[in-house]
Amino acid sequence: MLTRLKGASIYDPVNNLNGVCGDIWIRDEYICEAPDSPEKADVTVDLEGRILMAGAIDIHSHIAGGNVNNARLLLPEQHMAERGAFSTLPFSAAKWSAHDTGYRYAEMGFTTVVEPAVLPINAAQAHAEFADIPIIDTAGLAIVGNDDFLLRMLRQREEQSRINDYLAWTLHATQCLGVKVINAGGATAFKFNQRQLLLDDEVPMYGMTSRQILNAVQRAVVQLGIRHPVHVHCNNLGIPGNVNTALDTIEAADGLPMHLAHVQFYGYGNDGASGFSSGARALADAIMKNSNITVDIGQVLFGQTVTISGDVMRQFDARHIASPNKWVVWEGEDGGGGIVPFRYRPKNFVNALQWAIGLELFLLIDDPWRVFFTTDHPNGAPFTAYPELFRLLMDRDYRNQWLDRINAKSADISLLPHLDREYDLNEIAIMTRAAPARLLGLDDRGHLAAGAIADIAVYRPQADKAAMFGKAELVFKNGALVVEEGKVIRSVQGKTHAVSPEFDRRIETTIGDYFDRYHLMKMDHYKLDPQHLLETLGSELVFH
Amino acid sequence: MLANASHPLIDGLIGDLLDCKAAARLAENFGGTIDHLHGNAIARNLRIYQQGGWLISSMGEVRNRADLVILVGEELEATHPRLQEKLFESPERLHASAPPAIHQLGHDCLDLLSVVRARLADKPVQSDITGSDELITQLSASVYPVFVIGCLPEQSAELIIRTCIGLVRDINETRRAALLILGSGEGDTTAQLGTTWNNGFGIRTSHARGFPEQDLEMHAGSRLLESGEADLLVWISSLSTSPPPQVRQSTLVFGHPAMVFTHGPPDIFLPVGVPGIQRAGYLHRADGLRMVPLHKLVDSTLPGSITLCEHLISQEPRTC
Repeated sequence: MLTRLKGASIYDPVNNLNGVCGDIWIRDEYICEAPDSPEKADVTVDLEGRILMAGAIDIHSHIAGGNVNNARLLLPEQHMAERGAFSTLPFSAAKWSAHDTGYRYAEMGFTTVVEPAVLPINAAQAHAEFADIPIIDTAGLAIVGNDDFLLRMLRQREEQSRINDYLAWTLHATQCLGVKVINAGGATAFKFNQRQLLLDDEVPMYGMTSRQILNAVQRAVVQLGIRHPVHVHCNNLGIPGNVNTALDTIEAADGLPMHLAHVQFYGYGNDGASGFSSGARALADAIMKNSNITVDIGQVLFGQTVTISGDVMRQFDARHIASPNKWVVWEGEDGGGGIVPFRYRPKNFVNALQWAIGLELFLLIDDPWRVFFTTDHPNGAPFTAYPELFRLLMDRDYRNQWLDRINAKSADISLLPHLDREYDLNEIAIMTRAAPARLLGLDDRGHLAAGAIADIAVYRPQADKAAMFGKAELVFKNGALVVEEGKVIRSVQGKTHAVSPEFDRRIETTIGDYFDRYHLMKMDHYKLDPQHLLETLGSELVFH
Repeated sequence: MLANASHPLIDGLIGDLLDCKAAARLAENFGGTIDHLHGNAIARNLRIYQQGGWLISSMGEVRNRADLVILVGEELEATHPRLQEKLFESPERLHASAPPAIHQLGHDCLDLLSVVRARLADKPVQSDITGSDELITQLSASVYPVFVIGCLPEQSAELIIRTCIGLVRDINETRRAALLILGSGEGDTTAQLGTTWNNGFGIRTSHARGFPEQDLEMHAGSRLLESGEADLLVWISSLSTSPPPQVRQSTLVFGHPAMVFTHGPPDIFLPVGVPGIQRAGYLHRADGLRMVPLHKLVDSTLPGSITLCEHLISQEPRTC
């Protein structure tokens, strides 16, 4: 079928279209060249006055896996369903279910979302949940850096090429798109009753520092040619003064590509009477100076949420601030994690400053190709609050209204009143479409050139940017119309993306022996088999 | 039967992930409620979890790190026959040179645990109890003690588990310790986790009002059957040959092909493929951290329960 999307204002930064009025043509699942004659269209959709972009891509959102699912179980009161009409779509009334995740993302025009924390031993469940998330495409990042096998290799000073083989094998075993390092060595140190691990602290038993683990993984990712740079959750998350940790980590990257996740949680100085201040200026300057660094923000927005993290050391430390007062900490093979509910309050000095620091970073980092739109769902706020964040970034007056409502001291010391920048539509299209596709190595999306998959979002221009981006007027997924007037009208099966770098298969002899000695299962039983995933879960993998 | 039922109960769920998804889909489509054979135990643990959370370990961590295991509950080998071999007798361990010391506690351990907790927290106790010195000495000397909790009698289970959770929290203020809660087996972990990402809540969730609502008391399968609020029992059991409970409601069974009906056959029996033998699937390990792939070992013409359920749903799709 040939569809003509006619006369929209097109924002496609990859192809230098900045609000140009024109047509986009779709043949079946893909964007195609315009035919010789417009009469050839089977369907023409008149989009005059509308804004058209590629489907949005979220590079860091906790949408699947054991930690997320256990948070659902812990907090039934946070997602009580509402009485009301329900559609015929499966589980559309089940809030915070896998289905709800797909529907809500699609309504906003998001078509690809990355779960950034797949613990390898839990990878099968993450894929099972991915397969039940409708419409959107998904991918996972495999957690490494607390895995005993890797730490042993480093302790034994194995050659980098062997470490590369092991990391490629991990991706092969977990069917993920890239790797994530969470407080490298931190979960291991916590197992030995250490309560903090700095970048240059030694991990007990293993004799190497967090920095050395990070460097080894980073080199492996570069040498294996994995497109997504190592995705880093730094040490010392959430601690006043931790901006220095982020600055040291940027320096440790040594010019090689590195992605720093949810940097708002690392934008903290320790100046002032309260010992808590904004470190956003120093962090933004360092990011601007180091073109090898990309970041996502992890913006805080006010309200009830729950923090879900593989940083078990940090989550244990946060138990005292749980609100409501309940928390979960768990440990497992090669990692751990924790679930701590939390309410960000606008009148609370720390929370209000966290909110301001996130926005400062968004506005001070003047390169939308290297700063990404996230709330670290649900850690800073649930992704369903994205419309609010679009508005805060695009509407200075709205931001200033908020400054009058938050804690006065936080507003006073914040840089926000002095930041006039407003994101424009082209910058939004870069930050939420073009740049994420490039960062993840997904060349078939994030733009609208012929050959790209037809993931397309159409918005009605409105002064209220929250309303505009909260409900897309139309969304196409792989060429199929799935959203109309901000409501899902059809559910389609999404796909899961992964990479499959080459490696020396001889490492499987060593890994297999390791499994026989220390695991509860055989290595072959641990690895995910794409055919088995497809037959049982209906999970279709796409390799890049 | 499904279309005419005003409130079907989908129970049993002695199956794998695909069986549990089938149950969740059926409940949603036909306005029913789901529960598991061991719903009482699951609901009790879930209630404790939802009220305060906990600090837990995994089977692999216990195998590799624990230097002291406090077994809470008797006859663990009945529900977890390979526990001893897999967790406590491994010749090689990552962070321990010798197998863990095992401290077995019986069903009547509540007073002992309470006294130990109080004494470790330097709180006064009215009267000490035999065995507390020994357990305190062991706990104090241990680097990573783990309380492994199996089946417990209903009347004391909740307080025992809460006391263990409290003990573990107290110890972790300065040292390390954890719980390992094993459950009752028969697919209970998969039923709980696998339905949660579908309906948002897990078992004892009802769709009778058109949206999912969990109530750990009201939506107990046994209560719905006894009170007559459920007018149809759908029993899903692909892993066990035991029959469904004998009830006055009409009964529809998606069951193991060798199921034995000791009280007479149900109204409808649909034999389904057994996961891990006649079809592929997934089942959670007892700690819930890992999903174990199940492979098809023999060819079979029997459909999986999810295939049958999808077919039934397509015949009678929800319209409102």
